[in-house]
Amino acid sequence: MFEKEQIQDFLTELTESIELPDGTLNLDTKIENIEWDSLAVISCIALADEKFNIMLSGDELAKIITIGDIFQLISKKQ
Amino acid sequence: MARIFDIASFLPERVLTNDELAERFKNWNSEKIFNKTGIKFRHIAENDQTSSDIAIAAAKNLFDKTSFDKDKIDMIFLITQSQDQSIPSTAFHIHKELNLKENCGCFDINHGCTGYIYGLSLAKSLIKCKECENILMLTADTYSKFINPQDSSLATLFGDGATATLIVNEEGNEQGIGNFSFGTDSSKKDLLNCDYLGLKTPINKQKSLFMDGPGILNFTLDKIPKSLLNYLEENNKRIEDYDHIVFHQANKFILEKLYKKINAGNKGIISLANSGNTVSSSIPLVLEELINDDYDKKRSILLAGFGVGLSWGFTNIVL
Repeated sequence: MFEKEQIQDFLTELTESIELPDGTLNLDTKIENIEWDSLAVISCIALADEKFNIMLSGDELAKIITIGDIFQLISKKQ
Repeated sequence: MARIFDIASFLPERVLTNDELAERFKNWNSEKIFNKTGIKFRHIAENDQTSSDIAIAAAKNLFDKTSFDKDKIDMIFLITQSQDQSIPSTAFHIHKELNLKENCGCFDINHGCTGYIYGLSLAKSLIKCKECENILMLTADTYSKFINPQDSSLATLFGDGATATLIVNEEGNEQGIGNFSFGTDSSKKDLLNCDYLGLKTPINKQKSLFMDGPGILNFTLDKIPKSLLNYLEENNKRIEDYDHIVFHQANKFILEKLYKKINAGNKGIISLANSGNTVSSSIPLVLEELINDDYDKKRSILLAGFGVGLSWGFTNIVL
């Protein structure tokens, strides 16, 4: 399980990293509604490694539907 | 003791700017490209400009800079993956054009982002075994000829370039080349590959350069910091023992993550704004800047190469 602050911290940094307006991302955000490109995937991999010491693969991140799925992937590997 | 005497480089005149790339890739803008890659422009070889041309230009710049008697060079080798032709090695063409002496060995090494570390190891060994006294080690690549211009993840990162490093035997000089450590994860060899210039894939089916960006990132974040810290431990060294840390200049994003993971503080150098990722030339380009800044200053530098193979290699030098 994740602390609320952990999720918020991750979302804030991911938002900044993929250059979206502040507050764009929440757990229900559908990735089809944002620019989920190769840069976003790479930013997400680096953030998961930095914040949770978990390595997510590009294939896993290509299949997600919502931003919340990132946390599902991380928790499965913890 | 083997030591780096001097380094010079050559980058092709033609440049590819972020504005041009933003024009090509409509969902990117110039600022975003710079923010992520740390690159302002990459140099691109002309259609008829090959690795030998730029390596020769780098070597001539080195001779002009040092006034070193080229007849003293008893070995030259070129680290490249974009050779002029398959036979003979490109180094022979360079040997001819530089008018080097007959009693001088000559060969190519096919290696990418870890190539400079391999080259230093080989040069040090040749000098230590007393096979050679003065070695001209060249790096040159024109990856632009391998890249599909519409591939945004590659076209934004790679630049062409060449360097020339003179490595000499100098007894009693503390400026030297330290211990090495090498590693290979060949199970990931296809994460960065290109069919061109090879015989395995028929020419009409050959594909341009391919890079699995996320896969390379996974490998790099997972393997490089751990392996580097092991290398330091084996050599009873700490990050604090070095004045500078120079990693292969892949891109700003990955360098920031890697330097943070090893707690490099402000020692980690990121300098690829005017060149891009130049493969085996990226480390010597940074070292050249340090030398040009102050030749006489003695600096202890930790070097790390990683990439194509997938491979990694570490050493430390006093420059």
